[in-house]
Amino acid sequence: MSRKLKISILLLAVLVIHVLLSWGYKRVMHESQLMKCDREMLSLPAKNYNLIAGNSHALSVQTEYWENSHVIASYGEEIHQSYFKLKHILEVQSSRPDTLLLSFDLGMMHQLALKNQAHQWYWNKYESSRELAPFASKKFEFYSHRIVSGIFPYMDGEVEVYDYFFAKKDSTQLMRKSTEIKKLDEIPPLRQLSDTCLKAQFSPCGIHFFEALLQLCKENSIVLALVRFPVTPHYYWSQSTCFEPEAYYTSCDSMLQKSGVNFKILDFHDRYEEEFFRDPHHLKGGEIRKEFTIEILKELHFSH
Amino acid sequence: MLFNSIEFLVFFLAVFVLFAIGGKWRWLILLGASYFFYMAWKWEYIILILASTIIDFLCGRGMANSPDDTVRKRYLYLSIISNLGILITFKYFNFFIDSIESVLEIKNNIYLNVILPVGISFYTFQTMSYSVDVYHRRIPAEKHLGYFALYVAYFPQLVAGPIERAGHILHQFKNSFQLKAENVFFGAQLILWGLFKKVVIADRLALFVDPIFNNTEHYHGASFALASFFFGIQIYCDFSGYTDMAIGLSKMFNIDLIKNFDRPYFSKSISEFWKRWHISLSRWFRDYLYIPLGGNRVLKMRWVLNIMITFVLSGLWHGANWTFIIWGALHGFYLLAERFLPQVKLPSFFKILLTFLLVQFAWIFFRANNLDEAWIIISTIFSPDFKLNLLYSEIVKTGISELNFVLSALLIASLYLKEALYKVPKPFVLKLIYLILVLFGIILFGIDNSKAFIYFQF
Repeated sequence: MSRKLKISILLLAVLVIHVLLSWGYKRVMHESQLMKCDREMLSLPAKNYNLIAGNSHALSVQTEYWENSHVIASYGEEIHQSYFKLKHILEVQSSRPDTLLLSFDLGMMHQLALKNQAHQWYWNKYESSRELAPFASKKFEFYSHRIVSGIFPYMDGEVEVYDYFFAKKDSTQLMRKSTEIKKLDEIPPLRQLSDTCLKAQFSPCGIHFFEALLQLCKENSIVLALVRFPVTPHYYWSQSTCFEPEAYYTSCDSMLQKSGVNFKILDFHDRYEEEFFRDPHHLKGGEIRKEFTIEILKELHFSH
Repeated sequence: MLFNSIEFLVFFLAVFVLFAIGGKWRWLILLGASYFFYMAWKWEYIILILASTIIDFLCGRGMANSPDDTVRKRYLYLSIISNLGILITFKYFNFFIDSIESVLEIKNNIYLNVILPVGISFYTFQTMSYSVDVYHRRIPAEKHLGYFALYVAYFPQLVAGPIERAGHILHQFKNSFQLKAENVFFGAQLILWGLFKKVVIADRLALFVDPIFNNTEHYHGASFALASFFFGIQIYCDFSGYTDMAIGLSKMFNIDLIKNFDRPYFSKSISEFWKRWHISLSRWFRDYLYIPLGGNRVLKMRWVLNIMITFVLSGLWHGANWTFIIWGALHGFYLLAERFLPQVKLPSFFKILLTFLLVQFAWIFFRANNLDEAWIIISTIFSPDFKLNLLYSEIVKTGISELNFVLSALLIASLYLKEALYKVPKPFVLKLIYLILVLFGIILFGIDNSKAFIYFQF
């Protein structure tokens, strides 16, 4: 067999496998929260609805108890990603929610790893590289990651594929044992507060996109409900080992006041005991999430 | 700029295109690319390479032009002192000061605030070998500064070897630059396999190894034993992966680099291990230190001393830390034991296993952050605190996912299988499947935040 033929066979085989893997991965991802978000976004009405966005903490709000609500939150979602989704809804889909319920976490404005985001292939369709690039420390890696993950969507998808085929489907099996959730009294001695650390919580990128999101809400008369979701004390303190959480939220509050947006902050971070958590920062499913959703609605003065 | 980055891929493709159209200026393209590659890391340190290049070139010319042995020797000393001077200043100065201070129990805070120039141990050793070879008239002194500069800075092997000899590579620069399809194909295969070993195996094993070696107080014997085993495989895949890529990249320019690894974990003795592991460094120490010290043609006690000096310095070459010195000394001790202990006839499998275990034990010193931690790890492994029953929970504690742990085990097994079957002829279909597996293995299972190669720090 000639070398040219061998190389042709190799290239053809690579192409076929690439196409099959891309197709297979998209199939696997079909049921993921990310793709559910896409379907949810496509089903949004033009107006008169409530939108739940942010990271996985926001998934504890149950849409079946909140009339006209839609959830587009996803795991590990950053503030700039929530901003780009909202922008897409407003500008591309010409849809406008009345209320935006957003997770309001300690790390939401932290320095982001823009050059190596998970599921970049997915975010490529929402994010504007031009808007994000000024905040990337390594521009070349920032752009190359976007291009490469667009070509090979399955490149960082081994966990999803593994979970799809092998992980236990019963979500209660995934819950951690309560003994694994460390107690509050193990944490404080490790804390060393510093102003520098507090300032580091507000990265230029985080601030920019938080303010941009506030601006979108203001321009479109969207009521912004910022929720400090329930977490275990262990998780709460592990997120703030070197700064005072209340000082962080005070700084956020001044940004909110300055923006002129119609907002409300709901603080549930220490509402539940550890037994109600499936892991350090996610509530268990079922009744507790229903109860929590009703509490939020009461605070927002919505009927349920 | 790491070999395992998109940045390097773009750089290499650009260099390769320029090389293809470069004609008689190919050496200049590679020299420019090599300096660019080095400066991409820290541009200021190019001065060190330039200084080393010019001094050694001039010393070589000086030796060639002088019939007087005393003058020749002076040029040799000038070359060695300047290279060792650079090496000691940037790599060992703080370590020596620190060691002196701790022995004398004083604190002067005389430290040099410098970053270790990447690859410094490799290119200084390479240039020193040139000067010694010219002095002993093993090779003629190079007349062309450009070719000599390329010998010092050739980017595929600049930062982590193989440590080339002038006699092996300089004539290739002059005669062999060609573009050949079979070289490109063979080189690409080596690059892919090297990249696979680095980003799929080594970086995955690091997910388990690093948390354990960096938090010794939180783990028990079984976890340490497993982490030590994993580290042995990690460092092999990391370093040999780099070397495969270097050889593959160079092959594309039709330049053959020397073989640096030859399935070292199949060695039946420690002496055989050192003929298969980091071959270019072992040969360097053999030719430029061990043999000049007298080698084995001396009295037994002197031979013992020669072995220990060679291995301790080999350990020190790896890093300015007592852990490396102990690692080197331990290997020296193994060699002496191999020579002096009564020989027991064992089946090959047990010889390989025994050698492997001894090498793994020594890796503990190599990987530990300091001697205290190395001692904690070893004493815990060999104590009743082994606690095999805690292994699973401690694996979970490292944060490595179930998937990555299972993959790690499978990858180690496949690595061994590949190396065991290296002599078996493979038909085209098998080669095709292998290439596809390696390629998609890198895309699917390559660790996203791939780390720098371990040997870059040396």
